[in-house]
Amino acid sequence: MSTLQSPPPALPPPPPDSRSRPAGAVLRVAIIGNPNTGKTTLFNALTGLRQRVGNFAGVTVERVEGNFRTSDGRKVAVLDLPGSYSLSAGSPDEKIALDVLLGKSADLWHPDVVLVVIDAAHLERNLFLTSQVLELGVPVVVALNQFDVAEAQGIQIDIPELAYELGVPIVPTVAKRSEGIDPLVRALFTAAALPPPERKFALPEAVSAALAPVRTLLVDSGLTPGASDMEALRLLALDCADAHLRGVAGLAPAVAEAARQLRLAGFQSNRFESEVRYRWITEVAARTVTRTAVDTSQISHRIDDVVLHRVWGPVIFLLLMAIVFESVFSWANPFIDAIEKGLAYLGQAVGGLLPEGDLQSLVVDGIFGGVGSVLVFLPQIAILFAFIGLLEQSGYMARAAFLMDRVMRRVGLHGKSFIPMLSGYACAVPGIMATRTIEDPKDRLATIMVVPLMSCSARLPVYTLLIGAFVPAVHYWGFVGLQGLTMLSMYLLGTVAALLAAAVFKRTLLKGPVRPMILELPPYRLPSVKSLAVSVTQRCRLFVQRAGTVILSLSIVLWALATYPKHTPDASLSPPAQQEAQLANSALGRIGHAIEPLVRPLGYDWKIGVSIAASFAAREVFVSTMSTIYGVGNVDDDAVALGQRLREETNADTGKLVYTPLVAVGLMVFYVFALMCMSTIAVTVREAGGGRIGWGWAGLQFTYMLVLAYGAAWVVYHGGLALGFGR
Amino acid sequence: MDTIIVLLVVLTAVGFIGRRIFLAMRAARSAKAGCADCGCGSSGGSETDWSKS
Repeated sequence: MSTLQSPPPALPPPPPDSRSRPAGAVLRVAIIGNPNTGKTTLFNALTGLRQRVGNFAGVTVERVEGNFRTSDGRKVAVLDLPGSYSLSAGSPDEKIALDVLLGKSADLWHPDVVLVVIDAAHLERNLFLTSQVLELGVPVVVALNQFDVAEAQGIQIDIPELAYELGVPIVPTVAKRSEGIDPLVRALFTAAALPPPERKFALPEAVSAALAPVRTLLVDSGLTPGASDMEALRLLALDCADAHLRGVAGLAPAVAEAARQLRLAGFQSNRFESEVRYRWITEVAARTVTRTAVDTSQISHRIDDVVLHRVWGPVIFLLLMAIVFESVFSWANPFIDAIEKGLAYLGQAVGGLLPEGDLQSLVVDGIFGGVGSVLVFLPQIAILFAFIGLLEQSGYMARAAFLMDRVMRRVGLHGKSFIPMLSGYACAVPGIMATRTIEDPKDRLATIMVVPLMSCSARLPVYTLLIGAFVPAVHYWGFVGLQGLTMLSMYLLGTVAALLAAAVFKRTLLKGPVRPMILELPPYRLPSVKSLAVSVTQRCRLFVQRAGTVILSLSIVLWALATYPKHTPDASLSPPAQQEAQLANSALGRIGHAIEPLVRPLGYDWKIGVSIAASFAAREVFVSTMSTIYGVGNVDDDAVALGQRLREETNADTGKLVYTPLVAVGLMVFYVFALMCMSTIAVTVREAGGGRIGWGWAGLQFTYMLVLAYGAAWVVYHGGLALGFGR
Repeated sequence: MDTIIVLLVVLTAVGFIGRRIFLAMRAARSAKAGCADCGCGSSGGSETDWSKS
């Protein structure tokens, strides 16, 4: 750790000349590195922002920008690029990184300095990307991150020697504790004034001669000589001219000719780049790295022997999930009570200030009833995401991805699809964005099509309301609760449906080969309490923000639809019957009765039908609409009261209960499958290619999920009736 | 007076929902839009705002 406390970064030999920066200019820094090296943690430490951090690859899949000022007032803009093992640009996110570094990005700036983040415990593997970046003609600083982990594993790195070999400043850092940040910032400004580094190894004469025409074409196209050297080698490996260079006339035949000459000289053109770079890396590592102690990652291996076991692995996974969902129910109750009481107090206070009438009804029934009925689920959101964060940061989620790879391959999906699907548990939008890490366009599209089947946090209030109202809080063996198991089964149902749907897509519209996944299992780490708190707070903030904006607006509109037009009450009716007649004659009631024939086969009445229709804008609106419709939004009521009301609701014509456990299960199953989210549709349109193609895929996604939802709810209801349930 | 307030509140809510739909449609059309631009407020995206610095 002493290395970290010595502020001056290791610097290369003095430059022959220096570049001057205008005073007051913003220093633009792009962060790049292999996946899971702590880039985003370093980005957060530098900028003070709160981007999501995970202990698995693929968390950052799009541009993330931030900025900060140094203690002496200088401005720095930072761009966190997606994690990448090389600049081979196989997937959309790697293309973003390459575009930025080559200065070819249409909407992102070209950096003044590239900050390469290296996992100090895996120097050799990280140096491949570093060696490519060193040739781009841009000043480079290397952050040797997770330096503490490397030291604990007995890995010692001669930093001055490594700085000499790479020709760039090197700073050891421990980003999660913000150690080494000040020297790193100083190094960024120092490097900006240095000439850019150059290729550190020489190519054989025959290779240089073969690549010369390619290099000339690239220089003529506007690339720097250094970037042209890197690109020429890279294109040789790809054996073609890729999208970045399509505009360069004669490039493709020049690359093909260079590859032919290399083969004639006895080299394998497609492997040449990796061979020559790894030869250099081996030499550098031999001169700079010494290993003196036993590798403590053995502990990780021993844990993995159990958690990745063919039999015990899935059992442990399911057990963990059962504990998570049970905790969501049992731990949240005191907090839910507190929020309910708080909202009731507030509602009474505000409602009491207003005269009786529509305005009071709007505030009490529409706003407090609608938004309040959703807000009470905040503790459950917090507990669920605390667990997910814990599993992510500890490194267990990467193991879960490994366990799932076998299943993914069986359905025809790439193992990388698991990470976007996992993100879908929070929200389908970032899940669909995360498919950018998948190279194969068909695999990517198949994943986009199924991600919304993963149960997102917007479904949680619907599940919780119905489970709380209709599933008894009984426990088996003292700790396995039926309510938690029911919720787990909803999540599993969505996951299984996503896998089956993917299998169908991969065997029909998106047929293609199954590719193996190379997955890096990170060592187990103790989760950082700060990171965990940040991620839970962020998720809760988004939930409250959503309740205060989208849900609030929809609740107000639905209240208006349930209140107007006014119906002249029949004085002979009882007050509850008058209220029912008013509701039935309101705009919402008329819409509900119009769509009732569609939902009747599922066992639903018009009130459920109209709540489902309203929740096509956002799923949580189901709960707030129910709350508004049943008029339980008055300040003394709460979500439990809504559940109570649902349990007691009877059909005026038949006198039978409207909601039975069977109807509740059918409703939950409907919500597992239905795509009821405008944002997801919008992001699918864009990520599936935009325009007509994008709309076509989004339309297909919406339709197949709706058919699935309706069909499954019908099967549950009628199957249940046939089996004697639901009486 | 109450009726006018109710009307204004309802119209504001309708306007807000309309804006959300517009933002979602615009994000669907734009290849450049980031995660934060679709209006869902779910995740990611650029937090850069030089006006704050």
